Formats: sequence, structure tokens, C-alpha cells
Amino acid sequence: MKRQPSGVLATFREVDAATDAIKALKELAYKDFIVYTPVPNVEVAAAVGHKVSPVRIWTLIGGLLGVTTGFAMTLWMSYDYPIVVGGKPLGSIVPYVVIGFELTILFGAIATVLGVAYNAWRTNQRGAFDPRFTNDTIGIFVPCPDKRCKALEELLTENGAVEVRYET
Amino acid sequence: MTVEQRLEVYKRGLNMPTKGLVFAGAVLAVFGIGVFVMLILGDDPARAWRMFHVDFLFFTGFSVGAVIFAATQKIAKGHWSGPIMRFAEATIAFLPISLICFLVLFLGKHHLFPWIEHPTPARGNWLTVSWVFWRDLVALLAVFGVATLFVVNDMKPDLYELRDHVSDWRRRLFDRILGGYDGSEAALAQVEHRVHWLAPLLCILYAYMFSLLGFDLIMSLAPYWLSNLFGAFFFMGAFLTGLTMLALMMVYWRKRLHLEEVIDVHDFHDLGKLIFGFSIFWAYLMFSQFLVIWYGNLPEETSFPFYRFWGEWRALAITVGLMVFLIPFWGLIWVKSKIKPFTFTLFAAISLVGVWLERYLLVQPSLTEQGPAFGLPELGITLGFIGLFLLAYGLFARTFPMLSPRMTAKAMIVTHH
Repeated sequence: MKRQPSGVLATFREVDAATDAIKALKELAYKDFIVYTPVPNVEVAAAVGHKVSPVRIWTLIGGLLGVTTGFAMTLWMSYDYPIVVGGKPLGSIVPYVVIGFELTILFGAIATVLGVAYNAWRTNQRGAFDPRFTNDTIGIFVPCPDKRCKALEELLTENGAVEVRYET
Repeated sequence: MTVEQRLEVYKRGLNMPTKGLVFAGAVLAVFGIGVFVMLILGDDPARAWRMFHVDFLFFTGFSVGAVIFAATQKIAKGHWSGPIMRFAEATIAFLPISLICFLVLFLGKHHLFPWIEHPTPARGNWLTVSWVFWRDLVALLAVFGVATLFVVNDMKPDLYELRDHVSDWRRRLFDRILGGYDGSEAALAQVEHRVHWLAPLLCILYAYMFSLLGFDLIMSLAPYWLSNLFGAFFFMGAFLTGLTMLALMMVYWRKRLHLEEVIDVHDFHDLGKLIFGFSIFWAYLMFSQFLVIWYGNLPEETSFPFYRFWGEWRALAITVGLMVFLIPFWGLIWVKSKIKPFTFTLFAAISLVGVWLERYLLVQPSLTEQGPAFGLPELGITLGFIGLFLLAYGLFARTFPMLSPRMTAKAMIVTHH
């Protein structure tokens, strides 16, 4: 486990201010800062400028696995224990589409959750946190060594941070 | 963009280069009407009437479907579609023509409705000429009336804002439509209030009335067959064509008017997602009907789909499935293919033609013993309808502002930083 790095934790009440701060940080080539938002926000996401999420590959693989499982399971079961129902053929593709569809969704959803968990664990980004960031406040944590923090604190305050503190 | 630049863009939307469109529309319309008249006076009028029926259903469907898209945006308060809103609303210009086509349709009723010659006791008095005619006429009038009211009200603030930039008859027409609208906050609030009432009303009316049209004008052609979901299948298919038609119009006008800065990647992406989603929904409704019919395995239910899925019509049925569902699904699942105008247009066009073939497949096998036929009659009548549509659309675009200043400005605030 990595230890939490020291750095500056700034809180913002407004989206615009947070967006400005992120842009200013990026201009100064800061890379490993963390942004917390209580709700997904298009402006903030655009300012941070993430690459395409790797989770979607997980969803795709989960979905394809689900559709395969759905058809394989139903077909295997009906041939393994053959009972003719309603004069229909044993391997009736038409109703199995329903199972195939449902398992696509189920496996896709589970794979997505796993993908989120895995990628969050692998990123292993650590920093100070404040419970208010899950409520009504946007937070930015910028890791930095002790002596350089003064300039950073000023930069964040200039861009509209309501509260800036140094965390070790 | 500065205020001047914006005004310049709106002026482009006010003075659309529609000469080519109107001319092409007029030529095609005259050609199509000529072919149609020749055919109904010829040896095989039934073939012409059948095709007229298919095209009436298809073109009415997508004209109203596009307005329904505008209404859904109003209900959901979607601002992203602001710049393309009027391209969708402009289809109301086709509705009067569609109404005339409906009246013309009943001239050929003996070639279309098998229950006139062979009354269907199982359906009681539900299927008699006058009852079908009057209730469908009222249904169409209700939907068309509310759609027109909706669009006119939605246009008022734009007409007011741009009325100083037009002259002569357009100025007089604008003032006439504006009536007492004076651009004040109160007047704007009133118009928006009205729009927010009319939009949901229009959607509900559309769902009810177009279900009825689907039952009366398609399902009744095979009077012993029934599927409760068919109405929804019909109007959701029409909604899908409304979206794909809007997609084609968006690409066309964007290029023609150089609207790259107003209609950007986001609009392609969002509309692409909608088309993708409703392609799936089409397949879902299709399958929901098929599953129940397949399970029940009752001859009066299975005859309709099985006649289309096997035998002479099989190739066409497979083509429809590919064109409306599988090709757009795998084509539009990628972000890149949604935001590139070329692939976006390609898949939208495939879906549009696919639903046209689907309408053909729904109507024709009920009425003819022969297999699929695509010849001059089919092509000529369809071209005629395309002509009438382009003519109506072009005349609307020539008269009214096709870019709404207030909706475009709102969209720019939301999607551009």
C-alpha cells in the first residue's frame, strides 16, 4: 500500500471556479491531481480531459460472454434432459433469445462493476479527502512537497477556492 | 461567437438556398403524379394503389415522426438539439399533402381493403368504409392540428426576433402569425407554457392515433390477423424514420449553409445514439410480437408473419431485418462512425430505406398473390412522394427561419465551452 502523499486540498463551491482551477493546473503541467465531484459533471470532466474509459471493453466482453452463456446454457439443458414441450423443437432458438438477451445485460452489468472496481484499484491514486465532496462541494487535491505548496495554494485561491489547506 | 457572427448565421437560416430543392421536388412530384394517374387508368390499377398506400404510410409516418422528435425534446427540456430543431419541425409542411393523399386513398378503397368485398363478421361493424374513413380522418386531423399548433407556437419568438430582416410578403406573413405576440417576457412565457402543454399532448395523441392508423390501414388488410402490439410497432417505426430523415436533413443543411460551428460533433453523436437506440427498439418490438405468435402457434396468427418470413417474401424480410436492425446496430455502435458525417449519413439512409421496405413488406403480401415486385410503378410513385415532400419542405424552408436564434443560443451555452 502506498502512503498518502502530502499535498494541497482545495474545496470549491462553484463548478466554474473548479473548472478554471483545473485548467490553470493543467497549464502548469500538473498531472497527478485528483478531482472529487459529488455528481457527474460535464464541464469538470471536459476540463480534466480523461482518455476514453477502459471500462467499456469490460462491458463488451461481459455482454458477449452473457449472450454466449445464455444460448449455450439453454441449448445444453434442453438436449441434456430432453422434454418436448408444446410440440416445439428441443433446441428452440426463438424463446432462448430472451435468456440470451437477459444474460447479455446481466453479465454486461456485472462486468462493468468489476471493471470499475479493477481500474479504480489499479490506478491506486491516493490523496486527502473530505466527506463534503460527496455532498455539495467539489474538491481538488494536488500532491506536492512541502516547500512548493505556497505558490500552489495561491493559485487555487485565485481561481476561486473557498478553502485551501495543506495535508500531510 | 460574437453577436454579429451569430446574427450572420441566423440570417443564413432565414434565407435558405431552396431553389434547387423546390425545383427538384416539383419535377419529381409532377413525374410521380403522372406515373400514378397513368397507372390507375391502365391495366393494373391495383398495383399503383398498393404502392400509393405504402408510400402514404411511410411519408406520413416520417413527417409526423420528426415533429414528435421535436416534441420529445421540449418535454425532456433537451437543449442540445436546438440548432436542428427546425429541420425536424419543418416536416409539418408535408401534413396538408398527406391529408389530401388520405382522401385520395379512399378513391382506391376497392383495390385496398379486402373487407369491403368480403365482410369480416369476426370484426363486427368495426371494419366498414364510412366508420374507418371518418375515425381515421379525425385521427389524422387531430394529430396534424396539434402538430401545427405546436410548431407555430414554437416558432413565434424566432419570427419576432428575425422579422426586421425580411420584407414584403414574408414580413406580412410573419406579422400575421405573430398576432399579438410582442416579444415581451410575459408573451414569451405564455408561448413557452403553451409549447410545454402541446408537446406531451402531441406525443400522447400520436401514440393513440397512429396505433389506430396502424390497425386500420395495415392490420385490416389481413382482416383475420391481429397483434395487439402492432400499433406501437407502426408508430415507433415511424418515429425511427423521423430521426433518420432528420439526420439526412441535418447533414445536408450543415454542409449547404456552412453551419459547422453551430452543428458540431456532439449533435452527430447524440442523434446517432438515438438512431442506434430506436433501431434496437424496432427489433425489440418486432421480436416481442414474433415470440408470442410463435409460441401460441395459432394458424390465424402465424399466417401473417410466416407468409412473409418464408417463401417468396423471405429475401425481402431478411433484407429488412438487416437494414433496419443489424447493419445500423453494428454500424452505429462505434463513436467514430456516429460522428463522421459520411458513415452517419450512410447508416441513417440504410435505416430509412429499410423501414420503407418494411412498410412495403407489411402491406403488399396481404393484397397480392405475387411476390415482391419493384418496377417503374413502384419507383415512379415513390419518386412522386419524395418530390411532394421535398417541395413542401423546400417551401417551408424558404419562408420560415430554419435556425432558431433562441434555441441555438441555448444549445451553444450547454454544449460549447
